[in-house]
Amino acid sequence: MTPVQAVMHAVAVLAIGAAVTAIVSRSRTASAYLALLFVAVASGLALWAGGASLTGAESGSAPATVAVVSGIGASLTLAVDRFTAFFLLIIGVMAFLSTLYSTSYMRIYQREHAARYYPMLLLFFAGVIGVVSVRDWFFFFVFWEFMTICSYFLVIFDKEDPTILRAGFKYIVVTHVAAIFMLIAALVLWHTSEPHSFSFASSAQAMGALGRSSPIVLHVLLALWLIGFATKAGILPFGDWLPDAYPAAPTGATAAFAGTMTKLGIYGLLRVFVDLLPASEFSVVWGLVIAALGTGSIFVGTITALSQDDAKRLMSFHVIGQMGYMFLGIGMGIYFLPTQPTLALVGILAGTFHLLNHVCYKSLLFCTAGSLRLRAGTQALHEMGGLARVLPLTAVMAAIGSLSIAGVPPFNGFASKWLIYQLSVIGGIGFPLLLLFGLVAFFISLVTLASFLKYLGAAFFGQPSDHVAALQGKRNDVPGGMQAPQVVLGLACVAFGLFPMLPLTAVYRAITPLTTALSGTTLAGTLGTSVLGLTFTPDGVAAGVWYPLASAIALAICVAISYGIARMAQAPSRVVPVWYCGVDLPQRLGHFHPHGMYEPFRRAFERVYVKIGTPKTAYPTTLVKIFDVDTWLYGPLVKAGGRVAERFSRSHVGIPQWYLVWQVVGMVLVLVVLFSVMR
Amino acid sequence: MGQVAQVTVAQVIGLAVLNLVLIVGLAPLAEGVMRRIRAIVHSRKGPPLIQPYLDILKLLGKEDLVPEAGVLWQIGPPLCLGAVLMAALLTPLGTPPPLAFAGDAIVFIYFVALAGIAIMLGAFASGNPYAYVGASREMMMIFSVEPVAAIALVTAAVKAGSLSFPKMMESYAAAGPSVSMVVAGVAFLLALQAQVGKLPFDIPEADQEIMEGPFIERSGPGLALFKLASYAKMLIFGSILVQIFVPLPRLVAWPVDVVVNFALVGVLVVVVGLVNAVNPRLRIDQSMSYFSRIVVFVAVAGLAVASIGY
Repeated sequence: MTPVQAVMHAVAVLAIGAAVTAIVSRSRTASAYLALLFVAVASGLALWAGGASLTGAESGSAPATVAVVSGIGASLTLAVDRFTAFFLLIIGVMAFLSTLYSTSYMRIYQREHAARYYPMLLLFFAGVIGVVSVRDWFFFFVFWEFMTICSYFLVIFDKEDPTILRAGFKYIVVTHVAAIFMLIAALVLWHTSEPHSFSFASSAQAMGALGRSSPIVLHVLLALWLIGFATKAGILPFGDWLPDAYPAAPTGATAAFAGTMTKLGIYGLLRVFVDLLPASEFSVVWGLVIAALGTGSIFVGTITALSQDDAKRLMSFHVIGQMGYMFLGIGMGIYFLPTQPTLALVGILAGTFHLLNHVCYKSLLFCTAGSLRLRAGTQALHEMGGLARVLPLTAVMAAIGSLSIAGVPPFNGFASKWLIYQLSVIGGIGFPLLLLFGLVAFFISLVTLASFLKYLGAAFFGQPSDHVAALQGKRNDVPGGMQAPQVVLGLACVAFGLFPMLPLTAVYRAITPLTTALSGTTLAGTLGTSVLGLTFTPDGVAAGVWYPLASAIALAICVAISYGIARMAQAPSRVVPVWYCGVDLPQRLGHFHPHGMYEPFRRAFERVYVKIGTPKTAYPTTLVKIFDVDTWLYGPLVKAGGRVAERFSRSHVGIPQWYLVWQVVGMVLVLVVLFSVMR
Repeated sequence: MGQVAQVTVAQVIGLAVLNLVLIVGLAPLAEGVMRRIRAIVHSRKGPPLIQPYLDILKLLGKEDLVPEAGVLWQIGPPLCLGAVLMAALLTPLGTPPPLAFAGDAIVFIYFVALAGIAIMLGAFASGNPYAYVGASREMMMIFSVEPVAAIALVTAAVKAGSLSFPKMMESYAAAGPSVSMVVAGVAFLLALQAQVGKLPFDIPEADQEIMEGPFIERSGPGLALFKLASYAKMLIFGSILVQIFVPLPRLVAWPVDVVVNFALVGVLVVVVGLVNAVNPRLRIDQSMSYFSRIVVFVAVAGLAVASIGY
């Protein structure tokens, strides 16, 4: 079996799985476990295809054409190069983990039908796998739209809530407008290529030709692509749909979105700007634009997250901020692509490594928010508090995720952010704007920290709110199906943090075949040869070092010394009630309201995020009247029926004498009729 | 890796022990000097210079009152002091930093931030609303002060073309004084008062309004560790300021360099102590706008000057 065949089988398995889970959807349990089974098989196939291609000697398997739409020059061509393989690995792991999480989590939806969840989730994964595997714009859009529509149905799963329906509507409108932009770009390239073809290879040639003949057109095309991918990635101002749509979906699906769909924006970005676009002055311009967009998103998204109260909405704004870090790293990389391959390599490595890390900790954090929802029945931070006693292991995992996303050493978020800072400082020596980008990124990483300490402090620690106090604080952690994904992702955060060179080697293998501009660089020459740490050597001179394992051991020794100092005198300890400065407060008054946290800071940055409202659509009034069948057909019919029934019911008065009278009258009538007929 | 790689394991361990002993051993003395200065300004006699040593020793033996038994509560103080000691291992004290092979300026800043995180997590674990107020202020101080330190260090990195402390010192000593480094040093000095949590920036603790904030529930050994960590920060940041932003030539032997370093840090201790003695506490919003002005006008100016080559 070749990797391409494995991918096709995976898509087929998911499609069959969707049908089967839809058929058995009357039983929630059966459809959940069948979905898990089919996803497990598909994940295994995707992982095998990804693993085989990423570790393989050549840069990927040859493209295989499955079907041809001869009239328009489109063909369903699938290929698994190392870059696709990298994404297949992520998708394989995340698909399985989020489905596993869903099997337990979906219990909180008692009224909704399971047929509206599992089949859609499976089709969504099929679409995602398709997007990263095709090599033809026509079918790229087929899978892209397929994925978007499935995710739309997942977003509006909880359809009783009007805010969720609005979020879904905004999502589908915004992403479709973006898709139209990309479609225009693809059509222009189709038109330019000779013979007309949608294939990636001919697009690359067409781009090269356009760059020489009409640069303005190419700039416009690149802008259209960028808008399309930035929208999917949630980069502001295009990603305004994200903080509404992500919290609306069930948490298993949100984790899947954060782990796979959002990342496809980055996939498309690298595919177009690094793979298809030859390294040229266009890379310099658009690299800067991408980095600037990323920095804007980092700033606005994260600052806005600080003031959120809904746990999942808070994390959704952080998705925007974190995608900004990826755009910043990759943008700087693309900027350096034609001139300094070493710096370009570090930038693209940093952005893509951050993507991998983000998959781990953001999906983990969404899962912990879902666990809170399951146990505490709420996502509002001010209604939580003290939940670490109820969900101890989830609290530990949430702490790992929070420290990772905040980039605290030695967790994984630090390793990728460290690379981004290195590049912005060293690259900034020649071009000071990058210094500014790097400093914004640094400042915001502290804001991220603040925001997730608020999450930890408000949800897991402190005095319980009234709401949580009603749970009586018994230890009752989430079931294994939800705990397992959390633990796996948490361990991945720690492992990637302590040994960053291992994932970086995979990322390096994935990105280098994309462009010949990187062919002169080696990972060892850029980040050192040691598996234990990173030594950034841009021009043969060590500019920065980060050895996580050594630092972690040193930190552990320092903490042990400190603990030794503390226990030196063997001081006795005693449990006492919390001291409210002498006032005898009931427990609930001691509950700290997370709204008040960072209030002065929040006020200073109040106006930073301008929410884009969904435009109110107005149809012609006659059309509205015609489509409003309720008013002119059902309503009158129902009323008429009601009137008839009411008239009839008047005869039912409940007094036996009257019924006797009716019977007598009826008999007389029957006799009259009989006599008149027989005569 | 150049010079850094040539350090042997024995040297690393020796330097590490030296750094830890110097920082932990001298930190209470610096605090004692500051208390004495405060007393002199108040026309009091003041405590003896070794009073902070006695305080810490006494606290270590005192009963530990635990409001809510939890792992996080126990971890808070050792993690805070551990992170500060880790920062000390990355700090040049006239000698090269022992862990220079494992981390650079960015790593240093993050370990300093980790000490703040430990304070905040410890505060959350106590469940006391005053501790929450203090923790929230601590966080706001972190993100108004750390960027100043970061910009100053990045200025030095831009001048040296490297983010590692030994490289920065080497290249500055070789190149001689420059405008940008002086401006960056001034910015770092202006942030020093807040880094070490002294008046007018002891806002997170603010003992008269929120009863020591994050430490309200602390007693005994836990409080001792937090206090020791806060004293140690003075020496660490003082040494960074002296070593990175003053172009010191390397003298005959490393003990001389260490003595010169601590003599200059002593001068800084006196300055910080004087400012501490004569200032009232600022509100958190005032302090934030103070630092945003420093960031914009001083630190960024220094960085801009550095990036055009001066």
